Amino acid sequence: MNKKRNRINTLKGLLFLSPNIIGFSIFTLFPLGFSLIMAFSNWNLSQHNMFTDEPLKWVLLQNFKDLLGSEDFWRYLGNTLFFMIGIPISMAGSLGAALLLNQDLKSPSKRARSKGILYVLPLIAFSSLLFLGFGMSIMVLIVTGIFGVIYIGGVSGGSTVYRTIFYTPNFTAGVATFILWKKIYNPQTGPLTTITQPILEGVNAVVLFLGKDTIYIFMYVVVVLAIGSLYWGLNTFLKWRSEKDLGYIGLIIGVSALILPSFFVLHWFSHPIASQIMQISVIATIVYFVSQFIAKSSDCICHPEKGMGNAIMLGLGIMALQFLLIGLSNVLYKLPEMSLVGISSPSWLTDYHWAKPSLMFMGFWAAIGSNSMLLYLAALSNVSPELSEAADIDGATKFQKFWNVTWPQLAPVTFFIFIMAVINGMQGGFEVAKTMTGGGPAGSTTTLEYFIYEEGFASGRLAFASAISWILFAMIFALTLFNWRFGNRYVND
Amino acid sequence: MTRIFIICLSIISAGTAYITLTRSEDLSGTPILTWVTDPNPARYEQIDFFHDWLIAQGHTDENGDPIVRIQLETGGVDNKKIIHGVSGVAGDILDMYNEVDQFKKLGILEDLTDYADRYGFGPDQTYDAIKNDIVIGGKQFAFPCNVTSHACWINMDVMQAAGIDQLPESWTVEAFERIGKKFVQNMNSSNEAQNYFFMNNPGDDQFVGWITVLMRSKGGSFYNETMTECILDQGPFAEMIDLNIKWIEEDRIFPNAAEASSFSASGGYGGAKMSLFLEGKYGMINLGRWLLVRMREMENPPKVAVSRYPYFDYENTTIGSRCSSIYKGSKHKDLAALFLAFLASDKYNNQIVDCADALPPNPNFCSSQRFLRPSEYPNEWGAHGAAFRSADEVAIPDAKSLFISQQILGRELRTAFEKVQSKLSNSAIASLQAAEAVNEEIKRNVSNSLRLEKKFKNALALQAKIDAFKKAGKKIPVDWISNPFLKKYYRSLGMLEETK
Amino acid sequence: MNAENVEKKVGSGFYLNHTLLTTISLLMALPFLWMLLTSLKPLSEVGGSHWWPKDFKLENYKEVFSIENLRYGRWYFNSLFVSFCVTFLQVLTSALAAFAFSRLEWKWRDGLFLLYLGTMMVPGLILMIPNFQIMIKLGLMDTYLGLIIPAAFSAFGTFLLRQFMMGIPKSLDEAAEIDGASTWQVFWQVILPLSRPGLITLTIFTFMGNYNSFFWPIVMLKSADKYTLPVGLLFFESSQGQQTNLLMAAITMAVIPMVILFVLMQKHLVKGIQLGGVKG
Repeated sequence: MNKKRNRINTLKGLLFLSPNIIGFSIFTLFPLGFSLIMAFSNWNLSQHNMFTDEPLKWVLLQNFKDLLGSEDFWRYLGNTLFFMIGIPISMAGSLGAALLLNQDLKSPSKRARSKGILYVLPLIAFSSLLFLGFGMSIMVLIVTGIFGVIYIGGVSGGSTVYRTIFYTPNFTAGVATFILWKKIYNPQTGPLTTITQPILEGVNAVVLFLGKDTIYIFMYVVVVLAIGSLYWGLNTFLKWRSEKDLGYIGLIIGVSALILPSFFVLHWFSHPIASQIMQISVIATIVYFVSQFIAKSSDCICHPEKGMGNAIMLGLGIMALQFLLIGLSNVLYKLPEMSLVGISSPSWLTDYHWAKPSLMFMGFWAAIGSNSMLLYLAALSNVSPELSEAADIDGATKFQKFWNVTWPQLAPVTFFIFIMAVINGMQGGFEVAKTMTGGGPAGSTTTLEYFIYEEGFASGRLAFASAISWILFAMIFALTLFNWRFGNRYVND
Repeated sequence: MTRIFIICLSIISAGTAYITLTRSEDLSGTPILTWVTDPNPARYEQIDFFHDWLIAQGHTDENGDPIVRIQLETGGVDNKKIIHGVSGVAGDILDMYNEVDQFKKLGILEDLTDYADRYGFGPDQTYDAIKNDIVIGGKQFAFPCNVTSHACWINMDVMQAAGIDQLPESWTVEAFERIGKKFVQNMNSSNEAQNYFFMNNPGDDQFVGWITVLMRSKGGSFYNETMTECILDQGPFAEMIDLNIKWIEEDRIFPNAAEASSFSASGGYGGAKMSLFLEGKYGMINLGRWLLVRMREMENPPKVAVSRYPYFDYENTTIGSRCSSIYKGSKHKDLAALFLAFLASDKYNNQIVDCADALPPNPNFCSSQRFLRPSEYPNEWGAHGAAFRSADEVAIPDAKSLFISQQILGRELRTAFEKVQSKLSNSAIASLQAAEAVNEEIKRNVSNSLRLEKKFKNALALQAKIDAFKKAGKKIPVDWISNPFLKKYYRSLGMLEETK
Repeated sequence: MNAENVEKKVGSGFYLNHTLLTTISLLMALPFLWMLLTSLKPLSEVGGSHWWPKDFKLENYKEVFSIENLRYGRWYFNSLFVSFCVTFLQVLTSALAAFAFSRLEWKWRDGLFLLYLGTMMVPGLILMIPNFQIMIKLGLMDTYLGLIIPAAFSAFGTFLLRQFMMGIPKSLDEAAEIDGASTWQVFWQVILPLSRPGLITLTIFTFMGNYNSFFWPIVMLKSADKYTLPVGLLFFESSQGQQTNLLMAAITMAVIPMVILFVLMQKHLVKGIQLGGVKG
């Protein structure tokens, strides 16, 4: 009886799945299997096609060996991972936008609405006049004007207006967006340069005024802060662990995230004394805490996966902070030298070191009004109002309300967005690189997807391109499996 | 849900009905050929001319209509042609830009030697220097639609504003640099961002061509005599990288990449550099003759002149063409051959002369007054003749190796340049790495194909003999050398033994 | 809440919120504004660095339709038609599959779902050449069907809807089943209406993605009367050279259906959720 039911259920499931799975098999599974097989051959479009009689050779693992042995692959993998560092920031951006948009923006009374408009109109008029008086360009007037229009539209129309405007980058995807960002990044006339140049000149003057030694003192302060943040992070883990709130898996991940920047320091940091201080104290801190963890290991036994989400969040947060601090201290070290020649803003997209951050920054902008924002919006309107009202009664602050009520309820969608962001991040970057930088300068913005395109379509080496794709698949699969296993746990916590 | 479902279905049916109703079915039975090319408006005119030409030549059916019609298909992205080609669904006539060898390697081009004999579009109908591109292994695979030889096109109005009245038609690198610095100094005030440049950066989109010409003028080549090995590291490539960077960053006679893309809002043919040139921001621009097509749309076009690319010791320039070939998978090869015959006709050549798209395929059309002094455009007089002489007298075809695609060479060259420009490497190391990468690719290609492997072995044996002869100071038999530049260069040095 | 209370609230955060939102809106809308303003410029002003046209040239919009060899109207129709069909089919097939993956218990469910997930992790570029060969074999090269069919099945869509459907309480379909509803009725009358936010989200994503899709149509299409807008715009760009103002006018018009769709859909998105009010 039960068996029969099972069979019927399976049949039902397959029946519902059938329209999808037929197309899916033909257009996805079959080509995928084909490409997997081809990855072991020497398939090259220019040598093996219906008009040539060159026999296909099976080279087995040669493509994979070539790939893993090539310097380019690792560099492009590094580029891809670099771009992915931006994922948490992008997600925060879209969440922020969604939170803003989710508020009750319709003013409850007509009077408040007209008051809102009335307050702003003279302000706009005044500021435009002010700008014009200072001989600013007509551009400022236009911007203020448009600002006013959007504002009035928003006050009277509510969040629909803002939502639509936030989402506009998706409508103009490609052409207009890329052209505009190229204009923004123009080192001669672009607004970014116009804004940063005076700031940089100010910094220059300050540095020259303070002198080398003062700047170096600042540098040491920043170094100490970096070490301090490491100490604080490890200490927190220790505390959680002794309170039996942290399993060993979370501990390992969190601690590795924490000490990752310290490894980079060995490559980056260039001031000899500060570098030594940094290294010695980092090693000392780590040794101290490792011994502490080992010493206390017996009395903090709890479920290995406990507290993982918190550990990862804290670890990543402090990791970002440390990177920032170390980067800053490095900048401070170089500053006095640079200010002697005069600091000028870089030529963003065509500068080897700035091209990647520039594209990343563009990604943040795009993330604000992205599909993730929509997903967050959808999820936010699902958050039950009863809970948040209960929190209101308890007198919780806005942040507490968000952290304790809203954020846990957003976990499933956050999880979904994160998984998709990791997948897309690993296999992304082609369109942007092709239109904005051509993968350059000197390959600094070439991601793995662009590499696949170059190999498969520009050089015709489809077998090799398949090999890259499948290596990439293996990495994404491992990452997703990890996310899935632990993320699900965190979501369901 | 059911309601939404039904609404959607009815919208889809309505759309399908509209498509079915508007389908234009050609019932006349006239075969239609597809011509895969760029969607330049001039192509439509050329199609009309072809239909007229068919009637004039008597290729008509019983109604007096042309026996074949042509339909234009745009190439879109470059890979589309390749993907279609290898899958058996490409158009009947394929246009290519200096990549006949590439498509020949794919095996998708029809051997045209017999057709060319029958219809009279053999290689003798075009430039000597083009022959190398369209005849491969003794067989003809294409015929040029038009010929492009790059030179410096000069905006004389801007030059005069900079106090430069005349530029030599042929100049050394030293003169080029000297005049360039003078231009930049005279046109820009010292305390503002530089707005005027002597020339667009020719390395921006014509990097390989520009570097080729400079290298050759010092006797340098990308490949050895049999094109079995990339010898970038031995030639003056490293020096040329440094020179170009100096011109961009120190002398400021070329804009840097960011400056050049500052007005990149304008895409399309010609791109931003053409706009900047026409606006007078650049004194000159490296382009083919088709620059005039856009210039003629202007109300007050500037006076233009042409100078050749500068040189160190050995003057030369590149030459290339947009060629038409017949697709091997075409069902109407006979009829497609008529189109290639049309390309060799007077009617077509004169159309190219008039529309200034490029140089006409047949050099004989370049001596007429119609070419040299178009009556409507006195501002162009003088430029046409110089442009033709550059192509006719000093142009040498590109060295294209059988063992590697030109695209990969170009990519490695660019990467080497960018590495040096980004200060990641010095020019010597970068060119060594580029040479290694190219040679590795050659080895990989050769090991992938039995046919190539055989050819490669023969070529290597020949190369060994050439090296021995060179070492001994003996004259090398001309047939041994397949690199077109080295052939011409060695001949000029008297190093060759000509066959009788 | 009484009126006084509300007034108080309006006083504090209301204006700040709007100001903040407006500022971000301005930043987000910049490309769009630039495009719009450029589309109104005469050709001579296109290269300039000023944004505001000195001369407004509304005729640009009319001119787009009258350029020879450019069938803008037809391309517009093609794009709408293809995107509509793709969206309809994809949402339908994804919903069916998602239902099977989330609401039914059966033998190979989790294994198959993992397979679906796995395919999303292989870069799509690599599928193009084999897919193209399949389309030739099926005789769908240069047809509308060739654009619609491969896009009608999506692992992403299935994944997305599955996540939405997972959030619907199990008790609802159990109740329906006790009332004697068949599995199909549960799907059609209970689950689908409740997953409206998911369906709408997927509709927006699919429509936008397909409307902007470029690579596949360009390889699939040969004849100009089947071009979709992105392909047509590329054709436009390479045939009309520097007429960026016309190009921008063409793109601005191309954007309109997406804006309309978004405005309509996002209203339902909110309403749907309020009506459903379902929490997992």
